[in-house]
Amino acid sequence: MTDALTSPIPSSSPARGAAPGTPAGIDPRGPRFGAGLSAVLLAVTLLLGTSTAATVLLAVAVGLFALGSALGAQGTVQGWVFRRLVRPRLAPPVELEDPRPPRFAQTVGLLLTGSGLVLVLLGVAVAGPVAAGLALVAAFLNAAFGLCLGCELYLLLRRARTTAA
Amino acid sequence: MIDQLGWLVGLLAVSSLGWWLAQRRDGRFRRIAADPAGTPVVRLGADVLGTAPDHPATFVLITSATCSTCPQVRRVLASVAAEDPAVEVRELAAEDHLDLVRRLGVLRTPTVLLLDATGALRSRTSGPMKPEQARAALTDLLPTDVRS
Repeated sequence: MTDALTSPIPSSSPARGAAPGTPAGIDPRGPRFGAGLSAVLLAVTLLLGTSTAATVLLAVAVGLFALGSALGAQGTVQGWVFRRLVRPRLAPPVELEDPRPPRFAQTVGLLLTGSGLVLVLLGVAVAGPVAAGLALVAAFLNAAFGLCLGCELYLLLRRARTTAA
Repeated sequence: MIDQLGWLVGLLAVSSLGWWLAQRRDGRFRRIAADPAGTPVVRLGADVLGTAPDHPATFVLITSATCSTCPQVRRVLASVAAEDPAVEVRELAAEDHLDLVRRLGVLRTPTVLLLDATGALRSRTSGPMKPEQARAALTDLLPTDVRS
């Protein structure tokens, strides 16, 4: 199986996409496709309201985000689907992407859906649809417009952390 | 189920609208006015940049570890600088310059500052950028006859 990591980047400009010292790039369409699958899963979760089925689906979403947080967006189930079924049908990527931003976004998704799931299990039923809805917004914006909402949080968190210190 | 469907449609509509409103500002340089006495509000020098700006125009790209659009903006700035020897690009990691980030009110990466020959901050923007937007910002600093 050929991986995004091994494909050459056609680059005519002298400016490379990556700064020195960054990890090997990934196909940027992978995380975006994955966000589309996540968005569908979270939309169905939201539609199921506060039912048991919704809680099960939310737990599945937590598991998927945990994989992405641990291994990066290319290590998720969605990433595997993209490499096996989607990428072979696409032209090689024009540019590669740093894997750290999408991985950070997966961690944000994990915290969001994870706290929702914990609250549901503690009896706060409404936390399920709320967490699914918030994560859905982030996944939808990524899939539809390429905006990484979780990534935007990083600098704000860094700024806040040093202010508090 | 009907209730939830309403929530779903509403959420997607509101987030699309929010994205559309926010992205209209992406890459559009805002001028930074000097104070009434004519002194620039912010001037960056060797203390922040390593060496003082030594070109008529210097783009400073502020990046971070989780910046997904920085590579695109880095490419745009490099291609614009390659067209014109009067233009240089510097890069700062936000994590290493949190004081500056706070002083300038930088809330997201990529943020791009445009400095003149003296290091004075003349305009700034954030988010994805088109080459035309970078070139338009330069017309404030460079005489047009120098730039073919």
